Amino acid sequence: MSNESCRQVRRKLESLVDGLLSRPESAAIERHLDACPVCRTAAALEQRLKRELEALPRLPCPQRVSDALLDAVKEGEKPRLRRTAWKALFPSWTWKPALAGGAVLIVALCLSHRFRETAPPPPVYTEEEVLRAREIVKWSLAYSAQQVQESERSVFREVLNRRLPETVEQAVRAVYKQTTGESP
Amino acid sequence: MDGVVFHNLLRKHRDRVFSHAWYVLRNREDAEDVTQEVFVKLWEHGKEIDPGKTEAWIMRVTHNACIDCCRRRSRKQKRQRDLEAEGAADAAAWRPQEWDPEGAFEWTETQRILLSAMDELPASVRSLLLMHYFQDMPMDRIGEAVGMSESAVKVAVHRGRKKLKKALIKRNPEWSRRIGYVERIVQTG
Repeated sequence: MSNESCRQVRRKLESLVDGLLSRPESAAIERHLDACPVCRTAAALEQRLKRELEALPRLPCPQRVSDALLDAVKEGEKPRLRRTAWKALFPSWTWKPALAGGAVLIVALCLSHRFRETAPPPPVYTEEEVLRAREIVKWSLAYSAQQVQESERSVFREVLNRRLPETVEQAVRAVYKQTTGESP
Repeated sequence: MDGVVFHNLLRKHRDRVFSHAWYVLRNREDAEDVTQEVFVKLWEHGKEIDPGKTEAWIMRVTHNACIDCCRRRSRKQKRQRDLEAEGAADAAAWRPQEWDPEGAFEWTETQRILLSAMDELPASVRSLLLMHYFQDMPMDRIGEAVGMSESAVKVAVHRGRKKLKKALIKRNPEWSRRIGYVERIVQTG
């Protein structure tokens, strides 16, 4: 047998075992196979592959799947897809936003850390500026203290004008004197 | 759709749908989900289906549901399959994962090798091969079912089969020896 005729036959072996060739074509190849043990081996392998694929066992559908469908039909409802508990709790798409959120958080943390490390140094003030700031703070505090004192006095006056019982008035006067050092 | 008609169709086709889905997806839960999806769609669209084409319709929906399921699995599942494919180098190590022990089959050695080899094919090609050989559907009906021309189905099945043969030869010493012998003879002959 020539190599060329073997190659031609082997190209058609698959169609031969699938029964897709015309009768004359099949007959010609069968004749070649009768005479050529090499192509016969190749044809046997093709045949074997087909047989194995055809002979894969038919797997029985689990009863619970058809039961769920039939129960729904019996009750006149539209059959619902059964999902496993964990698929129902965590359908695949819920991971995507969670992952995206996690990624954003990580990036934000990294960036904040980076910015904290590379934050610019505090500005340097001149001595004159510092003295001026101190004066401003001192005067502000004094002013605040004066305001608080005046507020206290006005509160006491308010209270006393309302003619409280003598015992209460005495107590208030005592507290006022103790607080301010003055007699109301 | 009438409940009795649906019941009959479910009883008639449930095993073939489930088997097809399991062989394509190789995962019991996914195969169960696909089976339910197919029959839910059958219940919903039953009235619109031509009674003479119910089988083709069911296979089309099964094929599409399997492909969708594969897409949904995305990277995580791909990684898992890659790992399985790596592990499949040792054919003896293959086990029908996710399969219920009570329904376990006595898989022959060749079937184990064949299933490992099928893992290396794209899901769509696996599905077409199964339709043709396992479901015994002619090429023209497969094309009609999945929306491809007959010649496109033929090419896909041929390529799938070629890949499958290569994978089988790689894994099975007996096939390897016999094919090696054939190759040698053809090359030197």
